[in-house]
Amino acid sequence: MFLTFFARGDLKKMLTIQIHQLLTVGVFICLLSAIALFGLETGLMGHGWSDVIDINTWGLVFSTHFGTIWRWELIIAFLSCLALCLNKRRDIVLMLMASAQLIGLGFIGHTVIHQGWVAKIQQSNAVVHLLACAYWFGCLMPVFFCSRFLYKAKQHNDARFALKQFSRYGHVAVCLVLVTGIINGLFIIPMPYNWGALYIKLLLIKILLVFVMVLIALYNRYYLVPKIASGSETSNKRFIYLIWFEWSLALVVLLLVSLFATMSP
Amino acid sequence: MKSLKPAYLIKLLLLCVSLFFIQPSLAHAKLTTANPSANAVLQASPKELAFTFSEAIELGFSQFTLMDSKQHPMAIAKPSLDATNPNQVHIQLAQPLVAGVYEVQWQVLSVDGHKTHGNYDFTVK
Repeated sequence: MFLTFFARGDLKKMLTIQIHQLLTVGVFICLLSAIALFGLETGLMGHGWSDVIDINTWGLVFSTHFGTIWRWELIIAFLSCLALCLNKRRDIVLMLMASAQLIGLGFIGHTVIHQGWVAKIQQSNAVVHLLACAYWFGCLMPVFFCSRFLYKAKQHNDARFALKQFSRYGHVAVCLVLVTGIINGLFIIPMPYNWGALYIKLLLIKILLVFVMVLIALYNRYYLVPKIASGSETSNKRFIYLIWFEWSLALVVLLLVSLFATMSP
Repeated sequence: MKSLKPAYLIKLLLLCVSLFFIQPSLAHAKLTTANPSANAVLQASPKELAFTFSEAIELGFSQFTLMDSKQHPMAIAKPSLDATNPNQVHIQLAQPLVAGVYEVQWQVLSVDGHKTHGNYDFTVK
């Protein structure tokens, strides 16, 4: 998204070269993890490891609600690998594919526990949450690469423009992450809250980490960025370190979510 | 900026308020009702077993067993989902049950991908 909508001119070419390898590795990991998750889910639904390689059980899994969604996740992950070969419009095609995969994730797991209009609201909310999180987390790496061009005369203006654009929509994305996250919690966690439950404890750690991420984002945007604009190299270095720290926190948040999404709240 | 009409604001407010009245699910299917129910004492054999779970069920990965007083599995028909309610499972009995204590054993996979299981007894006089 950063490459497609925010980067322009010479900066776009430079960033494309830098991010291409990362993007390629990411797309292949996406396909491999989609296959691995299908295998693990087959074993969990069936009778363990023996069913992971049983073709009949695969057929049964594809007939479940999870399977009907996951077949599309697999197809899109495979098509994304093919899209890496495109010369034109590769970035926008990959962005659309990734968005489609994220939308699919909004229709499995704890978002299918309700029915009717409640389910529709919960799933729409989850989709918005996933897309907003992906914008925030996904753009941090390009932001890191882009911020290194702030002191290069040729790309300075384009880098400033791209970071401004990211920041403008970033405000909306962060607000959506917080609001949809709270709504999601209301849908899933039964009241009164059992504060001793592992699910709640991990969720609280996640909320704390997201809170720290929001503080870093605000500090970067409203304290460091004006200083960088006035030519402070120290602030630029601190900005880059904090982007890395924010990215690391986001990674821990993702790992936490992967863990407690499998538990019963 | 174009101002919002009061009707839209009321609808938005109602939507927000309604979110607080949604009964959160336990996210893993629980048996909410069964017919015959746990520890029921029936005067005659039931025609079918019916189960209602807290979530929709994946029948392909769910198992139901009816054990007689001697813990032998009874012949039962293939479970089927209710046409209007995917949380509900019906199982026709192959033959009427004679007097005795019966145990129902169930293991279900809910649509969120989690397995749960349980068992209970009922008596036919």
